[in-house]
Formats: sequence, C-alpha cells, structure tokens
Amino acid sequence: MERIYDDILHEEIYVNSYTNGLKAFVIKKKNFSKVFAGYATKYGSVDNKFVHPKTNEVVEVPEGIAHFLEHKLFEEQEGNVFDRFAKFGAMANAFTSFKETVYYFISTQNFYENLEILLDFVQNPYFTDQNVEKEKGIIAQEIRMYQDNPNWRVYFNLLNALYVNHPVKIDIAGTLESIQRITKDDLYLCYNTFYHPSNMIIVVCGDVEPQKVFDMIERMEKTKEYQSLIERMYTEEPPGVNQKRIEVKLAISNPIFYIGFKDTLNDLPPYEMMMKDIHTQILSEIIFGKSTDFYESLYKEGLINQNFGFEYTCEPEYSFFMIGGESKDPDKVYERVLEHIEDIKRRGIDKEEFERAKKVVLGSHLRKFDNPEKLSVEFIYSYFKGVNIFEYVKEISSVSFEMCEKRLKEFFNESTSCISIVWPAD
Amino acid sequence: MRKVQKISSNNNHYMAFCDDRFKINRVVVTFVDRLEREKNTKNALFPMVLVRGNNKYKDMKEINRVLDNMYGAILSIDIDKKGDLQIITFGLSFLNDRFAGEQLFEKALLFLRDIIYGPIEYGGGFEQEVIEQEKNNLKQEIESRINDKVQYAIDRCIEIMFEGQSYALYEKGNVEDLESITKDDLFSQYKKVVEKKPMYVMVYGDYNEEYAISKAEEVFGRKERENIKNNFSINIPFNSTRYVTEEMEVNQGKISLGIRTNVDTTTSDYYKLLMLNGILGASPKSKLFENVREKASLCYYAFSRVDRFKPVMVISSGIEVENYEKALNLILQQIEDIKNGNISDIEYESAINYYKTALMAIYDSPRDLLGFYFNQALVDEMTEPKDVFERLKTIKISEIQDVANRFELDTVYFLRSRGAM
Repeated sequence: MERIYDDILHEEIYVNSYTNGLKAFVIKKKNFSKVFAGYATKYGSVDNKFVHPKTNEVVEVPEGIAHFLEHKLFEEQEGNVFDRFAKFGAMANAFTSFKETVYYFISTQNFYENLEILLDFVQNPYFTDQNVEKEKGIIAQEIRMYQDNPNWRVYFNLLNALYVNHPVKIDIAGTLESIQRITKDDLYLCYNTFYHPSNMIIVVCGDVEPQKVFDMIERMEKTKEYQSLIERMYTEEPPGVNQKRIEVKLAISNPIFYIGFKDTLNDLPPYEMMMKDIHTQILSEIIFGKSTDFYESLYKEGLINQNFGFEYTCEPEYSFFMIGGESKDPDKVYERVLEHIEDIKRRGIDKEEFERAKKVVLGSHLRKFDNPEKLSVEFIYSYFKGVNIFEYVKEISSVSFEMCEKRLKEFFNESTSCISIVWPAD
Repeated sequence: MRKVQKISSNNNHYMAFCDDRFKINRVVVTFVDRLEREKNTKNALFPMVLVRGNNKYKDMKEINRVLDNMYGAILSIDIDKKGDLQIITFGLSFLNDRFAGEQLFEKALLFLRDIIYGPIEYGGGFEQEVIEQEKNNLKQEIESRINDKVQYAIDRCIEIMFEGQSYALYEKGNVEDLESITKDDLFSQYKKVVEKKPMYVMVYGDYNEEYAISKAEEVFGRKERENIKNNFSINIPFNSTRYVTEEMEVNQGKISLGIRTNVDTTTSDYYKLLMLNGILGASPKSKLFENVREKASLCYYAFSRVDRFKPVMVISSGIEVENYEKALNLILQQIEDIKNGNISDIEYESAINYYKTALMAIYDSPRDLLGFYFNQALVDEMTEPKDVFERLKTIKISEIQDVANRFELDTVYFLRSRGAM
C-alpha cells in the first residue's frame, strides 16, 4: 500500500496494486458521512471493434453493447443485485460513457458489506436468452426518452457532424435496431474481454480504512492470472469534419445549438495530453468567458442567454471543443464566434485576462474535490487517460502565458468547425 | 459541523454552519413571498435585472470580473415554488480562504449585498433597456419548459389539478404578464420584496460561527419584515378523477398521475407518507421500479414524489403510447397493493435504507444542507436529517396502509405523440 499526501490540496490518497493487474485507490475524506465506491472498466461505447485476446481474431459487435452489458450485470440468478444492496442501504447504480463503464454505490452505513456486494456482482455475470430479451424493452424506452431530449440530440448531432468514422459519434445506448441484434453470447464475449482486472480499477472515496478495503479486494478477486493489453480498433479518422452543418426539428420552444471545433492534435503521451487540456481550458475562458466583451455584447444583443456555455473534451483518439446554448439566431452566433477568434488571433491575448482565466479554471477544478461522487468519477476518467487528477490541479498554476499563446495558434480553426442546431417544430 | 441559528421576531432569519471539510464556501440570501398571479412574474424578473449591474458594478462584465477574481465564484438566482409560496434565492459559492490564499468571506457578503441592494443603496433604479432584454430572456425560459418532457408532463398535471389556485402557477411567471410590466412596477415590487418580505441568510463555511453570523447580520441588517405563512391545504373539493390527454411531437408518451394524499404534511403523518413514497416509487426496490420497469419491461423510469408543502403525490413514467392502459392499470395496482398491506420486507427495508442514505448524505453537501434547513424553517420544525430518519424507523406497515387508503386519484395526464392510438 502506498500513501500520497498532497499538502496543497490537503487530500490524501492510498494506492494498492494486485498481481492480476488490478489497481485500487482510496481517497480519504475525513468526517464525511457518505462513501462512494466505484468498480470501473476501461470499456465504453466506442469499443465496438477489437482483437479477441484468445483467438486473435478481429471482432465487431453491435452498437450499444457496453451499455447493454451495464444493464445486464445487475441481474443475478436469484433476482437482481438491488435486493442485496437494499438490505444494506446503499444506492447502487452504473453508467456507461464513451470509454468507461462504472458500477458504483453510495452508502452511509454498512460500507464493507456493500463493498462486498459490488465486488461480487461485477465479477459474476448472469445472462440468459430470456433476461437479455426482457432488457430490450427497457433500453428501447431509454433510447426513446433521449430522442425527445433536445440537449442530447444537439450534442450527438454535433459529434456526427464532427466525426467521419470514429465511433464517438454513435449514441452510447446504440439504436433501436442495433440493440435488437445483441445476444447473450455477444455479452459474454465482451464481458470476458473487457472485464479483466488488468483493464479495471476500483476507487473508494470517503472516511474508510484503506487497508481494510484493500484486503477485502484481495480476498474477493476471482481472476488471478494476468492478461495482455486489449487491442481496440478504430477506423482511421480524417482531420476534417464530416459535415459543416446538421439540423433537426423537435418539439421545443427556442433553437438550441452547439458549435464544434475538431482537434486534430491527438494521440499525445499522457502528460502532454493533460497540458493540452489545461491550455485549452484556460484559453477558452480567455476567449469566451463570462467576463469578456464578447460575451457581454452577444448577451446584450439578445443572441445568447444565461444558458450559454462551453466545454473541451480531451481524449487520446478524439478531442473537441464545443460552445453553445439557446439562440434565436444560431448562425449569427457561429459567425460572431469565428470573427472573434480571428480577432483574438490578430490581437493576441491579454496578460490580465490570462491571470483571471487561470483563477477561474483552478476554482472550477477545486470544486470537484468537495463531492466524493464527482471526484471519484473525475479520478477514473483521468486515470484511464494516464493522468492523476491531483497532478492535474497542480499543473494549472504552472501554465505560462506563452503556452496559451502557442495553443491559440494551433487550435480554433474555421476549417475544422461545424454547427448543430435543433429548431422548434412548427 | 457546528451550527448557530438566530430567528428574530421580525422575520430576519440568520443561520451559520461552520465546517472545515470543504474547499468551497456558500452564502445564500432568500426572500419569501406569496405565490400570486399579480406578482409572480415580476418576482422572477427582478433578480435577473439585478445581476445585470447597478451604479456600483456598471454591467455584467464587471460583475463577472469580480466573480472570476474570487477564483470563479458562482453567483446564482433560483426561483422556486413551495406550496403557495414563491421563493427567491441569491446564492454565492466561493473558494475557502485556505485555498484562495486571501480572505473572501467578507468580500463575498458585501458583494452579494451590492447585487441585491445596489439599485437602492447606490441609486439609479433599473434601466429600461436591461428590463426589455431580461423580459425576453425570461420569456424564453418560461417557454422552454416544454423542452424537458418529463418535468413538463408533471407540471401540466399539477396545473390541471390546481386550476385557479395559486399552486397551479409556475414559479417563474407567465409570458402573458411579461409585456405589461413597467419599469416602475418592477422597481416597486423589487423594493417590497427585499425590504419587507421574510429574509433568510444562511452561510456555510470554514469560519468561527459567532464571527460568521455576526458578520452576516452586520452586512444584511434587521429590517421590520412581514410574516408570511404557507397554506398547506388543497382548497378545491374532489369530485371524480379527471383524464386529460395532450398531443405533441414526441417519441415517447409521458404519463403523470396527480394524487391527493389527504395527509397534513405539518403533522407526523408526513413521515408515514414519506415511507409510503419510498415503497411505492422512490427507493431502488420500489414497487413501481420493480413491477412496471423490471417485471413488465414497460418503461425505463417510473417514480413517485411527494410534496412537503402541499398534500400531493405525483407519479411519472415514460412509456410507448399503445401501452397507456396497461401502464396506468399496473401503476394503480401498486397503490392498491399498499392499501391491502401487501408490502414485502425487502420493499420496506429498501425504503428505510434509501432514506437513511439520502438523509445522511445531506450532511456532506453544503447546498443540500442549507436547502434542508430552509425547508425545516418554513414548516417551523427544527429537526436534523438524522432525526427525520429516527422518525421514519418507527413507521408501521399498518400506518402506511392507512395513509394509502386516504389517497384520491385526482388527475391522470397523458402527453402523447400525434396521430392515431
């Protein structure tokens, strides 16, 4: 067991590694009443094509399978896992994102009993033809619910416009059609490939005893042998965008839009990825933040409202920046965003704005440490990218003005941008 | 966590919670007014105008610069409805001094006061142009209620159920009323609220509690304020269940049931109702989740919710349009089962455990904790989250049954796609 204490953040973290490749972390939160425990696998909606570790054959599975698997893992021969968690008072759930699936519970009592259940059920799949069929009805309703959600639609439409081939453009839950093709055997195949300890981590955050947690994991781990790295296959992605514009109509009141910028500088080593992420965050705060003249003037002209916001997603194979909200004239906003970027590129960035932006970015990251759930999820995302979230926060202060200027020159180009709009239906 | 509370006879309430576990501190100033058609839109509008600037901070950009320099402090406005009350909240969350390396607490209090009282203290009133812009923003916000179909179907159900009553009003107002609001109307309503209506100032952070509370009082003062109480009853006689169907371009149908619980939520019966809610549709092993979703595979979500400030329960689910009858019958069957005392050990245990986790988790979130104590203050109860759990533990199955037998199904609302059924 290794202990890391960060005297700037006042955070304490314990790490333990196991012979089968599993890693476990305890983020100590003294005097908190709730504990979060997450069992995560580096496996998400983008992992539809991979090399089978045993047969070495290339396998392609239906879209939405990682999410389907997440639903099904809660099922047990004797009923479902919620029965067991309910007894010990944990709120258990799971989520699937592009690159990870996380099973977790939050408890304020009986922590070790609940941890035992988590460790047990994630390692014991139980799929039958019948229970797989039954789940299709539930997931179909989940997909339909999201189809009515304008924010979800505008987001995935943007990804569809940004990416030509990369599976990040596919809805996490798959489609009404693709989930029908999923079978029990597909689920077992994916489970056996991606739910290996070497591809997983466990994160616990709360006021618990690290050694006790690590011992319990040691005792509960079923798989003992090591597995080599899983080879995932993504079709090559060209640098340009798939389409410049994507529109759809839904029963909403005012147009909703996202403008996207595709980042072509991908596949960097983890540290450089992290720095690129931080630079882009600070830079975008300088360009589009709420204290800029740009924001103020768009707001005053009624082109944007309080819902206006932006976000940068930074992954090894795909990175993109998006900015948007509600507007009566999304195309006008798009035009103004592009003009503004050109203007900043000409003028350069202001030192005072740079210092202020750094404070904003630092504050927003420190906020995450107050919520065990958010902190753990953030930790998992970063860890799978090869980055430690503690280091991440420390690096924000070290960023220099010149680094941000350099990033400005290489990113935010008109040619790799596009717009997604959801219009109100008549 | 240490807590200090001061309630004065003239309705200025101060509460301080001191705790060193967090990196972010929080200050909240809340005003309470009656939810009434002639002013709810104005009450939703004036805070939006306040955060646009005043004679001290000339525009949003200046306000946002102050916030940015406080390490991205977040200023928020929330307009809520609690029973027949309209709740107007100004919140500010900012970095703990230890991490900021400078003292932000007093700065934050003064800043919040300058936002709320700026137009009065520094003179100048509201600008017509700003009012017009914010009217437009508010209009968009009210109209965009239809974007979230789950919440929309619940809101419509309540509107139909309480037609003509103040509880039917939307907390952020009505588009029809916006147009006629004049600059003077708005300013005078604003002054009435911030100077005359009950005020709650709550601070959460890493300080000495005596210091925190006296500082807050020094900044926000003690004015003579009105006493405003919620009306906890429904006020309309029950005749028979109403069935309302509306159409919209949607992929999934949304069903909402509005139930009169006939439970006085200011009495200990409220805790019986809470347990019923846990068993019916709030806990992970609730009857709705288990039978409508897991067994019948009819939906992705099905839940129930009770209101602390009105004797109402709402049940909500998203289904295929052709499954309407089936889903409705299955939902009603779950209530019948409770009436008949058909509650398994696991269902009961799951509900009690669900509440324990939810209530104890409140202690770990300054935002939730302030919200909890504010609700408690509004019902004149001073129990702690852990006390609520102690009370829930004592509820017997027969008491839950008894509560279920008081239920009356008032309204069934169905939002469905256009075309034939």
